[in-house]
Amino acid sequence: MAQQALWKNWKVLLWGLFIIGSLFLIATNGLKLGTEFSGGTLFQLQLAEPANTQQLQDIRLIVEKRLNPTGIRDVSVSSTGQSIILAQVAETDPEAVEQLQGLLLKQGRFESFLKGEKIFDGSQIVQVIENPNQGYGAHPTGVGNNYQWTLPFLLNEKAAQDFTRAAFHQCTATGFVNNQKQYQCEYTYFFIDRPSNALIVYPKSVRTADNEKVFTATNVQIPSEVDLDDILANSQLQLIEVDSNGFTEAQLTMINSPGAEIKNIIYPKSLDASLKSQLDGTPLNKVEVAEDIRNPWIVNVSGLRDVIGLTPSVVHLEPFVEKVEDAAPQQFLVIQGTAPDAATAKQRLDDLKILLKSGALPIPIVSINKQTVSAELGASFLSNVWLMGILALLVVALIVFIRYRALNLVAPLLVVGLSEVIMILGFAALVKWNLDLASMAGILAAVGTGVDSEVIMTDELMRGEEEHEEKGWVNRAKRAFFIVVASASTNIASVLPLLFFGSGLGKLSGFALTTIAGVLLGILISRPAFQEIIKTILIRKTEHKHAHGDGHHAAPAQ
Amino acid sequence: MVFQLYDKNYKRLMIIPAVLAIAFLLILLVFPGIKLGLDFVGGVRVVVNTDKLSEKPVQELLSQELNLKEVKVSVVTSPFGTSARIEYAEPQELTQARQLLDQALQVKATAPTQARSLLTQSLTTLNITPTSEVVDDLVTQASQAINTRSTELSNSVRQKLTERFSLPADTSFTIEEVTPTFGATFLSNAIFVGIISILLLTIVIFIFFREVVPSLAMIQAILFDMLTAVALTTLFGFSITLSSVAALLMLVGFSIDTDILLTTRALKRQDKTVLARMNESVMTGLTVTSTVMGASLVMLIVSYTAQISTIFEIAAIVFFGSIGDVIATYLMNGPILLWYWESKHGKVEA
Repeated sequence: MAQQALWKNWKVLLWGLFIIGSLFLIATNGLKLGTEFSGGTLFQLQLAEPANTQQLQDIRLIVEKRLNPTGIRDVSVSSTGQSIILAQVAETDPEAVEQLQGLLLKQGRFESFLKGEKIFDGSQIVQVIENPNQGYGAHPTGVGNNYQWTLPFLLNEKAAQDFTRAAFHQCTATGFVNNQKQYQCEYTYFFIDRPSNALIVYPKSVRTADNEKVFTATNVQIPSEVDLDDILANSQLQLIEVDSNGFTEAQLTMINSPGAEIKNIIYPKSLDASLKSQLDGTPLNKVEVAEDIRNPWIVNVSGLRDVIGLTPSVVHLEPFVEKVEDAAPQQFLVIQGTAPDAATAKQRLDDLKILLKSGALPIPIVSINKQTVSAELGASFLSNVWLMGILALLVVALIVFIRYRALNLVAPLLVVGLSEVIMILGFAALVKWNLDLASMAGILAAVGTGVDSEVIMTDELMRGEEEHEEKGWVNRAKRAFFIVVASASTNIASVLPLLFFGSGLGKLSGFALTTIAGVLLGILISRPAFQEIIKTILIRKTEHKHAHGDGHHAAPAQ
Repeated sequence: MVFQLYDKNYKRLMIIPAVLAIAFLLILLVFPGIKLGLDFVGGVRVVVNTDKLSEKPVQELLSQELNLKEVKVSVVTSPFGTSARIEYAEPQELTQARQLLDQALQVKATAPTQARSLLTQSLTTLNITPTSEVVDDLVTQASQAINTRSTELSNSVRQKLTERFSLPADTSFTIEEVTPTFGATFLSNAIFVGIISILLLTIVIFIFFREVVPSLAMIQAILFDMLTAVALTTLFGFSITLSSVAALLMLVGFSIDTDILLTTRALKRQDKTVLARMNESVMTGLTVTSTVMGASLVMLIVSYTAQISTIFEIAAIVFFGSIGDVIATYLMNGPILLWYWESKHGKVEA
């Protein structure tokens, strides 16, 4: 009987299409490997209580900001379920990891300074307004691609009064442009976790370098009119300025017998060894902070995050109010700025929003699990997993060969098995799923059950064919398919709860997803294709037998 | 070739799984007793890639000089290199402090005064004076203190090992810390997920097969598989971790195929005698299960030598579970099906 060429069959074509598509996706999107393979640290953070969607989003942003304030590091933060946050950092140095862990637990204390005095802090911000109807958002200015962003927030009454008083008339007129009065205004300085309870050793050499770096700073947007002295005046830090002559007597006393409120002593990594050794006598907690090529050391240490200029309206110059007593306290304040495009504008908004919310976590973190894998180890894990997969597949092929003694049955099994791995990986590349060891296990599970089903399917189809008592392929195929669907459904059913409730199990959610993806891809794409391939092979075998005179007589139906 | 497992005395086969089930339960509950791993109990696991460590000295160093409890050290040499795997539990005070913090969090909203006293106790356990009266501040202080203490500990472990055994500076350490609170959460979640899984499975099986007895027979087989897997794992001295839980769910997928095959052939096919059909299924099923056993054995060996504990734990469960599957499917599920068939169609012909 003439049969349609195998590769023209739609099931096989679909299967081929999926394979090519998956290979394409893997090549373009790339596979995202978890820290277990790429090296790095995985933090699992447990929140004190389940968080709602908005809180989760905020927490993710905050955690990311804390782990990666400068935007340089490779950090990825996600949540599973409602009380676990997963954060991956490409950092393996144990001390750096410790510092990061400490950062995660920090309080997040926001303070705003003007002219050297604190004008309000995080506890006095009633609300950061994220409602577009009240002004929140970014809009194109109509000039080029520029966007203007606006962040409104609400102060409590007392803070509003203090602010109004402190900011009154803090701008000076500088001239006219196009009949519009121009002003140069004072700046407010925003800090997070300003080390108010620390002594800071500030060597002259570092200060000189910082002076220059103020103009090249990338971590904080420092306006050009602001210099190092302004920043120092507003950070109100307890500085111990020291030069090549060493510490003075008074300074040493401060270091060795600090007041009760002082907890830490912070110094640059590059501090002279002789000076460092003089710090040995201190009861304070020593914190070493490295210097940065572009950013002033003192800015990093002070926790300065932003410098925002006042506006003529907020200082009551436009419209003009003569006396400070007549100035209405402004509770509703707005921070505005421009950005070169929509993405940057949104980034600024997010950053500032988190800043004003103190970068404080709405729900505290109560425990942290961490797992650090070095990059070489991770790479060896990966190659070992590949090795395992290939060996396992070969073992399976061997066993099937021993049982059925037909190479042309073993080959499709191997090919289809490999194709399932490729398709699952393609799916993972598509959704940028994070592949960790558990997900790999899921792939193994899916492929394994797939191979299982295929062996059963083959057996079922072959058995009837040998005895030649069943009428046609349809019955056998139907039954084989029933078995396969039943097993796939039970497979999914057993793993499904993991997807919904197992978010509380952290890393296992990856396993659930890859297993389900694998089972579905198997049953919808590769198993039908496999069935066609086997059918063709078995039909050829029968024809071969007939041609060689093994006569069969139709046995009477039972 | 047809292996004649089933004949008219098939009921006798059921004795084996029944006896084994009791034995397995004893292994888990009485001796040696199920061992929960790091993921559930909490603790620290450190894997060091070096050949300079040996078990006894490290064990002594950690238990005597650093006072760590439940120290387990194993050094594995393989073609991939030598590595030492060290596990220890965190000190008593730390666990206590964590528990107090936990309790405080639970009553924080309803009984703040009680919360405050629990938090103060937590801090005192660590020899730290509270710096505030505000409950939220205390929560932060306590969590920070606990965290700092635990990192200090793993740090000193690392330093001591490096010093004492002169490890080169670039030795790679893999450190995994699981806090007991996390661990307890994982455990209760795992049990919950397990129960839901089994319920869902029962429903799905019943939808497909529509007959009570065969469906229950399959469920029994799955449960026996899991029991075998956990019991044999425990017997060989390995502990049960999160990966084992994942593996148990995987096991369901691998093992149910053979049961479905058996049941389908017994009940839905009409040719030959039921005994003959079932005996045929045995060969197919054994082939399938042996592929699973072969593959998981490969994984077991490679992951043991390469020290990849996640895969090792999974492979162990799958391997042992497959052994259980052979027993459960053919020595229990099979006879039950035959019994059921007999009750509907009369005694089986030889």
